[in-house]
Amino acid sequence: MGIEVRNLSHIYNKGTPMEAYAVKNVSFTLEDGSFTALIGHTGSGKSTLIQHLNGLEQPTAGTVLYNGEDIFGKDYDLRGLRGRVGLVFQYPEYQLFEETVLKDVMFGPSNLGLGEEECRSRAEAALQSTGLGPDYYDRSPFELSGGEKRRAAIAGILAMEPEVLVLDEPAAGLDPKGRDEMLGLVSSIHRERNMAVLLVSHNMEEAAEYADRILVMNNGELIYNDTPKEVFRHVKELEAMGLSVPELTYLMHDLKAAGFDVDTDITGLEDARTEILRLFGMTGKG
Amino acid sequence: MLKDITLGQYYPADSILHRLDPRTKLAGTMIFLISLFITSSAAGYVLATAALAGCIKMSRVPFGFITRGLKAVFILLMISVSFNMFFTDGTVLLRIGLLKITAEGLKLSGFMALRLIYLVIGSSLMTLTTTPTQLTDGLERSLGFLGRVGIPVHDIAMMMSIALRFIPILTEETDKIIKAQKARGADFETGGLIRKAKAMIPILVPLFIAAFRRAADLALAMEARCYNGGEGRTKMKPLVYAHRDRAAYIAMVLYLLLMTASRFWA
Amino acid sequence: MNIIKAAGVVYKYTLRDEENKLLETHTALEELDLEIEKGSFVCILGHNGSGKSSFARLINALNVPDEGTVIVSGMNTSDPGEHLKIRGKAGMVFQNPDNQIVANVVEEDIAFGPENLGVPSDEILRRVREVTERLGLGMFRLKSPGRLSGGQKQRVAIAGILAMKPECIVLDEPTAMLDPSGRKYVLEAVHELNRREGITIILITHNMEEAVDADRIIVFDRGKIAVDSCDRPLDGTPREIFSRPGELKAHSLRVPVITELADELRKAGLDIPGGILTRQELEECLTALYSAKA
Repeated sequence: MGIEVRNLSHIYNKGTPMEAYAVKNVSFTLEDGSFTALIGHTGSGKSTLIQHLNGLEQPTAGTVLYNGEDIFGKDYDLRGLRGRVGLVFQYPEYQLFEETVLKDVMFGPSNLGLGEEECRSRAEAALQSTGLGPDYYDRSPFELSGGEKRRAAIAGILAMEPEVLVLDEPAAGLDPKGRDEMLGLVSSIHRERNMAVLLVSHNMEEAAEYADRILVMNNGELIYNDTPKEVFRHVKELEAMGLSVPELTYLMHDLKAAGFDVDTDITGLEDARTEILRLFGMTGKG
Repeated sequence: MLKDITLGQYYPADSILHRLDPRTKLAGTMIFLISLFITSSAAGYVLATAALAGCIKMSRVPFGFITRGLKAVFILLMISVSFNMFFTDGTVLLRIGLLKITAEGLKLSGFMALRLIYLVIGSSLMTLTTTPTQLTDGLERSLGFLGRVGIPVHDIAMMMSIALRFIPILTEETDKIIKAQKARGADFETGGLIRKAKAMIPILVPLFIAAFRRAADLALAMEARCYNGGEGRTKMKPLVYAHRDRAAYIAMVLYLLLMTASRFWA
Repeated sequence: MNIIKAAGVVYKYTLRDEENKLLETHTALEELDLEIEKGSFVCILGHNGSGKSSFARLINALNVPDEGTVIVSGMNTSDPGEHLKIRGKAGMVFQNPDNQIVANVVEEDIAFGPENLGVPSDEILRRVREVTERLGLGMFRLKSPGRLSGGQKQRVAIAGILAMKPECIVLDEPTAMLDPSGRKYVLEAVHELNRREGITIILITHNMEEAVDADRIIVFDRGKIAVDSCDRPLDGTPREIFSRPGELKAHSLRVPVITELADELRKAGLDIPGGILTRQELEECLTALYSAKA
């Protein structure tokens, strides 16, 4: 079932001269267990859009269904929904506030009205998933390194045991190693907890590597909703939106233009290697 | 609500009001405020209205923008109006139960409302046509004499200017933190006063930390750009009175004289 | 000529608890020797905590070495009397665009540095006009910085440094918080300043793509210089460094994906030279190989 977004629009400053669409008539579905990337440059409306998924923002028109129920309907339990659709904001480490890491991670589950023991065991499991072991429990979250803080913050969402995890640029500002680790973490959470993941990013390489579906937004509108392969065929259109395709896809296009018979749908290193070696009659094994 | 406060917001435009020296505008605003309390006659209010309308016209700031500041004081306005309307003795026009409306009360509350509205519009007009930096420059220069008695006028002005710069940033930050905690199931709406106060902790702690982090960053960046206090500093646009400022001062004096005279008319 | 000379530099920072008791001393830089040539474009790479930011602050006299000396434009940063002059000669752009803009109007912010240096008013006005034009910020001159994009804010920060007429600009991860288009917008400006006006640029980053066009690459790891393209026997350019992706990975850095692919292909037996940086280069190389084979 998952999340279904139906004809959703969000207008800023409605009724003033500065009225503008942040999100314009967007519809899509996030299936259970899927891994979707949401791409768009700054100001494309992606951050506003995701805040509708757990009811933090109210749409001007349209709605969001969670497991078939209208989340903006009367008497819908929005707080309960936030436990099921976990939203990790950009730079989530800035939301840490408790004295210890464990207490901070327990904040989410305790807001869901769970008992102390349950909160603790969930928090411990969540910290485990993000790679923070027992020796972190009693440390102050403010003493951690940048990357560790971010893990603790993500654990704070995971501890609510959501069914859907939405992350707004979880790797922003990290160094390459931190980036790889963070995305590896998201991917392993996706697999182990069998959660639907929506990853907001402006990095095409990331989207190509992890997602099985890509949503592209521009000026508040949803332009593409397709597999990475299909989306990356629109090189010119993506560039016009200030986006790009993965570097290796560009390379394949270049090679094609130079007269080579190559598959231009390639996005990853391994595929590119095999494809080029095939050109030279090599299998690439060994 | 926070967005409705126009005080401290600058509206960029090229007008005579924008070009006036901030000291002139500060003086003008003071004189206008004083004049509102000097006068009590209809003629005085007509004069004040004409002066204000003239300034608004000259400022080239859209009228809708100027009046937006009124939303923030709406409740205050309603309280003061109803207080004056119902509790002034005089010729009774209408009686609703214990409450009575008198002709005097109506007049008084009308004037009170106008006074308050003009007060807000008058000061908004100043902040809308003066950049915060000019404003603090103006204050720094006007109050410069206090430096001689050991009050660090430059530092205070610098702090004000920085505070103005960071208000929108921290407002946005607060909004983000509230949303992030709501996404963790936090509840800021229900419960008694103590519960609500306790619910603020997850907002306040991150907000303070963010503010300190920004302050530390900014201090370093200022130091890197050779900031060393007020001593030996020059200004890109030092405050110099021009012809228009002298003209404005003359107009202000005339206006104040007329307003004082209006007390005795009618 | 060298604009920066660091000799035997040790820099430590200390962590203290609430009662100001020493918790630990951390050595950020150990026995660092480094000279940077005037007018060059140097890229300093390293993962978080490698000491690269500490080094940046030494150039600007925001940090002073515990041992050894740092000389900037002939001035010793250990002499507090020279600090203002040094900061005017070696400006610094920081990571967070919001936290380094002081004033509420773009042109007033750009004027902040020269005002602090006591430059006469009409000269400041002239410089501000000039640098806003040069950096393509003319139309934002009277705007509030809050309305600009991240990339534009960083250009304003660069303009603010430029108005102090520096010989050198140090940029500490200026693009880390920007999206790809903002990143490009900032880097273009920096390269332009280096090429056209000969301003020495020290760009600190962990993004390898940004290092591709530098004259020199220095990799920091654990407070030391791990790799310096100048020490290399060949041409001393970044190409040399990029021809050894394994070595960069050992310092927790990631090479551009094209370089990585070229390296993989070479390992698989294709005759591809080391140090391929761009996809044009790889494409040309593959075309040549293919026609040679046919």
